[in-house]
Amino acid sequence: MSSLGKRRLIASVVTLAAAAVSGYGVWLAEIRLGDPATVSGATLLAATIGLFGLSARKRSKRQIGRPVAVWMQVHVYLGSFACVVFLMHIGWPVYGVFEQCLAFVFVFVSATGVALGFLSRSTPKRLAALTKDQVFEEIPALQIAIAGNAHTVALESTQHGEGATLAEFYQRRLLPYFRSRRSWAYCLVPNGILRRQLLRELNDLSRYLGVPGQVSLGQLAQAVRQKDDLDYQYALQARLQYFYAAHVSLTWSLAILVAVHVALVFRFQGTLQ
Amino acid sequence: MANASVEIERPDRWDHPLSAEMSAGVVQQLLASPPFSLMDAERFNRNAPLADILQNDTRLHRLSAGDVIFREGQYGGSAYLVLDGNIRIFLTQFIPGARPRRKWTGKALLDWWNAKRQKAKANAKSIDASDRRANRRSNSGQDERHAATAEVGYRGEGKETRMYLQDVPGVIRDNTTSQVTPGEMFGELAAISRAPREFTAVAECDCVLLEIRWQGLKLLRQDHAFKELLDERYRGELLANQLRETAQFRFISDDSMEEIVKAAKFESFGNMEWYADYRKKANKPSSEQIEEEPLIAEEGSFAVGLWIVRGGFARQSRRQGAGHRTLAYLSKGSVFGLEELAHNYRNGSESPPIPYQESLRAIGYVDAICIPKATVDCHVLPYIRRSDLPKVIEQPRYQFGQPVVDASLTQTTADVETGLLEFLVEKRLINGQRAMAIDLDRCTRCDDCVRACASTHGGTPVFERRGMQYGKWMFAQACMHCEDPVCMIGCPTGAIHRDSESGLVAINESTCIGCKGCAESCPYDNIRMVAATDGKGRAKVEQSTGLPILQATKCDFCATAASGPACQSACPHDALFRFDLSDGDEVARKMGGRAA
Repeated sequence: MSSLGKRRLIASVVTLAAAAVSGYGVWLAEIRLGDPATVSGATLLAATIGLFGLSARKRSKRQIGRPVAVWMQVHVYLGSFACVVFLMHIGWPVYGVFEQCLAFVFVFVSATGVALGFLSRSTPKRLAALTKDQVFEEIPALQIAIAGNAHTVALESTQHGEGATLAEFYQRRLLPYFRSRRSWAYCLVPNGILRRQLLRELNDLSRYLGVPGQVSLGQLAQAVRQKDDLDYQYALQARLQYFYAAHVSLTWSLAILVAVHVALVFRFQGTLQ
Repeated sequence: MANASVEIERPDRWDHPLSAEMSAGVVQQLLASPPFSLMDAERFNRNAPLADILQNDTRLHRLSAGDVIFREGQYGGSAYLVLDGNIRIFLTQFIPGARPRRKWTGKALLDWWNAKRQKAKANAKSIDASDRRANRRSNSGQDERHAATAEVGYRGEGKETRMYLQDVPGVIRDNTTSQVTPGEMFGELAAISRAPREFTAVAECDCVLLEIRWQGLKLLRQDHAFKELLDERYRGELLANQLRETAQFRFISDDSMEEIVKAAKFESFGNMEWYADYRKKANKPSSEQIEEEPLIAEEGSFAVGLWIVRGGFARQSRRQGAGHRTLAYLSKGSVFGLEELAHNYRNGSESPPIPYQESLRAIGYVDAICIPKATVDCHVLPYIRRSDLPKVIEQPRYQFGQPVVDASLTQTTADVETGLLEFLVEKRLINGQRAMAIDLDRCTRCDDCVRACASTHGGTPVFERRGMQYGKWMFAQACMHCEDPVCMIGCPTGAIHRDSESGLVAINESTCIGCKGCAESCPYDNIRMVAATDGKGRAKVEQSTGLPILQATKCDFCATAASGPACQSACPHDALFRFDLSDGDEVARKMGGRAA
């Protein structure tokens, strides 16, 4: 077994063992007429605090302790453990507006976390499969340059003596494509539908064009491909960033709600006057 | 204020002389004594006259007996001229120097414990000096060069702290040494070749030395006689020492070694300032680039000798179709041609000899030693242990008078994909000792590495997450702290230099005059020029023109951080790592089997 496989196996076993011990603790509290919610709640609180460790490590200016990659691994497995304990902790249905909000935020943060875990593994491979890796911030500028080139090619095609076949198609179909940004739906699920459609329509025009027109058509097709590649890179990277932003933004709401929840618990238990 | 600036005079080459103590009187004394008195002062450039070179690029060292001038393995950019007293050059390793980082595995712990116990036993027995010597020889086992550690002490304070040997006569008696007397120069080989020191130099008695930094040495080479003297010494010295470092020469008797040294030829291929050629040829097709590389040994030609790479990198290749296929890159200490010579030696007169099966070409610049076939047959092969001998060549590709057998494209180099190997050699990335590689299959482009770099360097990152790509590997634009840092060649002030202990290439901000020499000579564009600022963050501008003063900046490998480079430790997905591309084994370990 590779070292990576071994590491994953050990971490998974430890996580499952921790979840089993927590389940046993909750069951023990239940049969001894204790308060199982307090046991699971305390465990969940400890796990949640542990989950903030990654954020703290990333923000620390001094490179203290292990690399961030190690903290990330701990975060992933601790997060999985917290999800299991969360299920032990809440009853169903969830009563009370405050508890419902808290549960919703927890589920949302967990769900975006799971999605991030999946995306952070699948997205790099899809990006690496492209010809050239572009820096996210530079993509819009590159797209503008491609649009400019396409515009020039379309204008020049009117000089070929083949009429405005290509220019008309450019104005009707390609100009909006080059000028506009892709929809949020494309960002969520990037795909090649529009690219294939435009290339097919461009190909259909070839029967009406002479040799110079064919050259221009080839250049426009190349521009369509380049723009689509950049859109694709942009969408993949943006999707990851949006999910990350969603995950992190509600993390702080979760921290506040958890703090209030703990205070309320102590208040109703009589510990906090 | 964003646009606040401070006016200063444009920094000049000699604003920061090597030593402020070099008075006009001292310089006049130096000019009156050889080798400077023999130099033709008229030959020097008006902007850098001989007297100014001595005043700004040299300094005097007054040393006491036993003072260590430099240690083997250290990096250094200075040569030393003995003015008074004697210096001892130690060809054996006897001072504890920089050691490789120990990995605390179970075996390593056991070794450490055993070594400690043996040391304690040895101390308890308090053996006398002769016993210690004998013990040293027997303990050193395979390699007698590594004698026991000498006792050292320290004198002076702060920057003036110097290491010294406590028992100079004893250490000289126990080790192989040579003497350097007044008027002679030493240490210039490492300064010229940008390589680590190959010996340890110690003051034998109270003495006075003149240190000449590389920038001054380069200017002094304008004098023809001095240049010739340096070149001759560079080509002719320390050969036996070099050979002893090669694994196959460990057990050769002293007599045979003498014969080998007599017969060996020291040869250089290519241009030491290879970066200019590299830029010109970068856009040519690969096959043309290889054809233009200086040929050291050609496949199919008679195996005339054994080649040992002494410095630089060489490409081991074979013809494949209409081009050449890279099989490996050889660096310092690597041997070429041994397989063929051993094959011919084993077969004797039973079968005709076979020629070289592969070619050897200089990548940029190569220093190599050639030992002729007759010497290898008489004085090398009989002493090589069977386990050190290469495998028998079962099916030679080239045989005299027979058609060439075409080789298959199957992978031959351990674990590294041929395409990746070709890429690393073609782009000269093999020069990088701390290159930054990003696994694009794991990198989420989160830029945490860039942010960590920026926060460590006052808000501005010193690398760019972009660069050459091969398959899933990106070699980011971060200083690679090269084995052969050509960026240092043109620096007029020595601001870009190599740390003597760690080997990291660093820029001294206070002496950088913003001449762009380093940035333009870096073949990988890993040095950038930025607007210089003062301590308060205000941009420095030139008094006369109002133009911003520039300064070179690059990755410093977070030299001051205990936890290593921030970029590497900040990557949440283990996608970024720094490693030594000049080491083929490390490349295979990190990238082998998962190249594309």
